[in-house]
Amino acid sequence: MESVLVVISSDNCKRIKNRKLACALSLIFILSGCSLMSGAVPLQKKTSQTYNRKVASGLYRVSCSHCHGVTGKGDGPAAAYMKPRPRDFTSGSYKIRTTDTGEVPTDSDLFKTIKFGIPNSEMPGWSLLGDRKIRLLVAYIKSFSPDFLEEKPPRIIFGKPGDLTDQSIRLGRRAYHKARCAKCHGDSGRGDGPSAAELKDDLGNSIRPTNLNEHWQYKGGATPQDIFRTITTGLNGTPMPSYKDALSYEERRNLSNFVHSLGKIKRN
Amino acid sequence: MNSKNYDKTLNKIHHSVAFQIASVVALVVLLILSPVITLHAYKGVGVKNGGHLTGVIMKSGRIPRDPVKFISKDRPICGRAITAEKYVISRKGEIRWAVVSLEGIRRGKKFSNAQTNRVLTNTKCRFDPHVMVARRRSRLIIKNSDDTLHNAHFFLMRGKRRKNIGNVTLPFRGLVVKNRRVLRKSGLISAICDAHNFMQGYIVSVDHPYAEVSDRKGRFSIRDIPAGVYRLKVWHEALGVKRIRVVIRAGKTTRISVRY
Repeated sequence: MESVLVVISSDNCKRIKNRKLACALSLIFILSGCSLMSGAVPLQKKTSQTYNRKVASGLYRVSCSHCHGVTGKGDGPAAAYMKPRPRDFTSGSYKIRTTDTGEVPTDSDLFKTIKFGIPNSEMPGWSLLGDRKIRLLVAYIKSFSPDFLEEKPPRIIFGKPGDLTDQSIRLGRRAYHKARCAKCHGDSGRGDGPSAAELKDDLGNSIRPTNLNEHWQYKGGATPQDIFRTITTGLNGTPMPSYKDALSYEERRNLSNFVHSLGKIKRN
Repeated sequence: MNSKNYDKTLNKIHHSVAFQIASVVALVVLLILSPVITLHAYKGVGVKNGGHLTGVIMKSGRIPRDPVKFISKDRPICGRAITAEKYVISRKGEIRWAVVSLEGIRRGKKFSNAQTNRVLTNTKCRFDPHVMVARRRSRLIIKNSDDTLHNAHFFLMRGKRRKNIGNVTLPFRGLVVKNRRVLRKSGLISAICDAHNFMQGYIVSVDHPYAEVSDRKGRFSIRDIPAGVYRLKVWHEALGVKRIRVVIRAGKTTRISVRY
């Protein structure tokens, strides 16, 4: 395409007898050519200009590929020994997001996951790399799935976390029963509900519901705000669904306070 | 050829009028084709004097039995056992829950209202309907009629791989969720319930209204098709995909029989 555009330049017009017509035609088609190419330009920008792909690739190979695989399919040499299995980046499905269920996460979600890791899994925090390198990794990991180019889902906006009052926790207990959380997480939150034994993740591997009595097991984090996010957006790739449509904002806030209280975190 | 000669020849070619015209023509062709290549959009313009396609989908040979799944929980609601609805085939061999759709159609009738706002109900621990056709980018209404927790977990199927596209919970009876995101892509969507692992449903998300699900007697009827030659795709969850060439004549009904 580029060579064609170069050929039809204004200099060449002089050589053609019907100069005006040729020049006009050239101009029109240069413009049309540009408009055709315009679809591809942002793509190139995203993959090559905004970050150094070579450096990011090297960083990924050293830090991530052992578990997530060189091709990002979650099939690195260490993957077979892990439960849950490392994320398959080509699927575009991520657990910890501030976006709606089934959507891709935002850059800041990925950044936080890499920086702080995921509790109760083999994913460690990579804060030792520094923010700049983590940002490179975010860009590189996104390039594994075309979903990031096709979709830009909005962040679900969260309010301030509700006060951890006894009243809120009491209402949260009611929401726990209304939302039938006990179906998987059990009546006392020990992860022993009637459906617990048969749950499977997206890859078809068995997965247990989180024992809510052990706060260090909460994959999305154990603060009321983190729990609120997990309840609202669900965890993609696992059976944990989104409660955004089933419970009101207030109910979800109370429920996250109640679940937080189940975690038995010592309060200062 | 040395490099000087090569450059000269290249220069000659580039400056020739024929080359310039050829490149212009190539650009025009690209410009005209670009919307077709990139968008694949369907245009609902209304059809006058269109043809109709009716037919029946049959199974020849031995008719497989529908597997039965035994249930260990929520028995007052779900019952003790449930049929998988994998092979809903009559004694005569008429296949239910097969999806027929025309392939590659770009212009035709408009979508009806029923095809746009489809309802998926969780009732007696089944997805009702078991298989449905829904318009891409339309709203999907998900309901729960059972007094128990269901979650409608949707996967977009790409060959053997599946991609999670939404997991909506329906914890109590009477809850209605209007979801705009599940049908954002066209293709086969599998719906499961994680709380009841025997539940399975399918949605075929389509760009055009020329798609139908076969009824109890294996019949289907697609109306108002612009006259022409098309490829008809038949999909069944267990029996697989078949493609057949069909000829539609203006104002006439074409009858076909598809055999698995």
